[in-house]
Amino acid sequence: MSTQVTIILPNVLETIGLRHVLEELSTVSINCLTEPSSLLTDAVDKTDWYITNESIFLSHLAFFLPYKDKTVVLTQQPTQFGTTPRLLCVNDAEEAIISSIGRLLNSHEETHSQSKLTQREIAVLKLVASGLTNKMIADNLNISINTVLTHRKNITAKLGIKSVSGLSVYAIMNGIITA
Amino acid sequence: MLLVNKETKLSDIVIGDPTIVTVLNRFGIYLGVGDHTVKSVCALKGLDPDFFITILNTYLFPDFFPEKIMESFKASIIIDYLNKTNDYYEQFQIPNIERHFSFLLQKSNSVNSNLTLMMKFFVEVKSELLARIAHDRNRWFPEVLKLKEVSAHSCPIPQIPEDSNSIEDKIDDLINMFVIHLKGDYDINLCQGVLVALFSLKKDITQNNRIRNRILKPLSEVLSRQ
Repeated sequence: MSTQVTIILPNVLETIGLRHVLEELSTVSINCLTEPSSLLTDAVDKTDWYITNESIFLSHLAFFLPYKDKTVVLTQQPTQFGTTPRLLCVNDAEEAIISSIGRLLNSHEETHSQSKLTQREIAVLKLVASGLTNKMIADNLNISINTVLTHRKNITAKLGIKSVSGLSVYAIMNGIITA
Repeated sequence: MLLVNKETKLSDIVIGDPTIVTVLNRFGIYLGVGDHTVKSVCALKGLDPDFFITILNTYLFPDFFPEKIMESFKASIIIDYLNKTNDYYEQFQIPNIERHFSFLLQKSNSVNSNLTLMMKFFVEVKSELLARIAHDRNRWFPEVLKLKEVSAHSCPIPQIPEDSNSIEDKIDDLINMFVIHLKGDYDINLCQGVLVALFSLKKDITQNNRIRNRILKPLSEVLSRQ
């Protein structure tokens, strides 16, 4: 299956350039938008990488934080490629930019453990990690306690993490909640 | 490996599972065991061979069910072993993990904040374990020892719920964070060092919890009602 990339940029020329580089480097499926709100739920589930700029990232933090590990933010200033979210300077040399994007496409397998969680499981995990009880989570998401327990069981099975403290650490590590 | 008995050679036990060395240390037995059998080393060190064999089999075989055998031992001998186990966690295993973890953090790329978070999680587990050890040492064990001549065999052992085992769960979580979720740059050797130390602690605590929860806890419940 090809890597799914969603480019969210207001500048058409920048989008065309990025699309060209991505298609040159690998077999990718690209979705181009000007803001995340126009992204369909189905496309959110399938996206392996988001590429956006600083202003869109900052103005849509609530959307991007859960996907921090699979987001690349284009910046104007030179920076280190490897933080989360990954930062990519648009003023770097052509070779450096292509090399960074190449590494990005090769490493998308690394994000798969988290992407195995469904949107609902991520929502439950977020509330568990924030310290809510099962009853509070059920009320918050308007689901039954049994459904919450099922989600928790699935989360533990997928992540291999059982304790609330451990789930909180995982959620912070993956940008699902902030420390 | 076969169940340990009085004629089993210590060297065969260690070669079969080298992690057993940490248990032998608690009985004053160290590497360089020569040709000693369980029987001869117990005579040399003044150990109760039946208790020694039971502890070794409990550690080596997760399915070994020591309850019936343990019932015949006095609470004092069980507590003495659990005290030595706690000392070992406190003086060797926890500092060993901490030392490796600190080196790992120093050697890793500063942008790898995941390791810092995992270290904080380990500190939480450590605090919980040390609190349990303090409670054992200052409250639970002294209370049981007040009736030290009573053996488990002299009273019926009721079924009571086990501990929440949250320490075990959290160590498991930490191990899985290393095995499944580790990202970024890190020193491979130091990382494996932390992982092996965590596995060793986990195995030890799991076996130790069986003795605590299934033997000493029911016994102390009975004694406290007398």
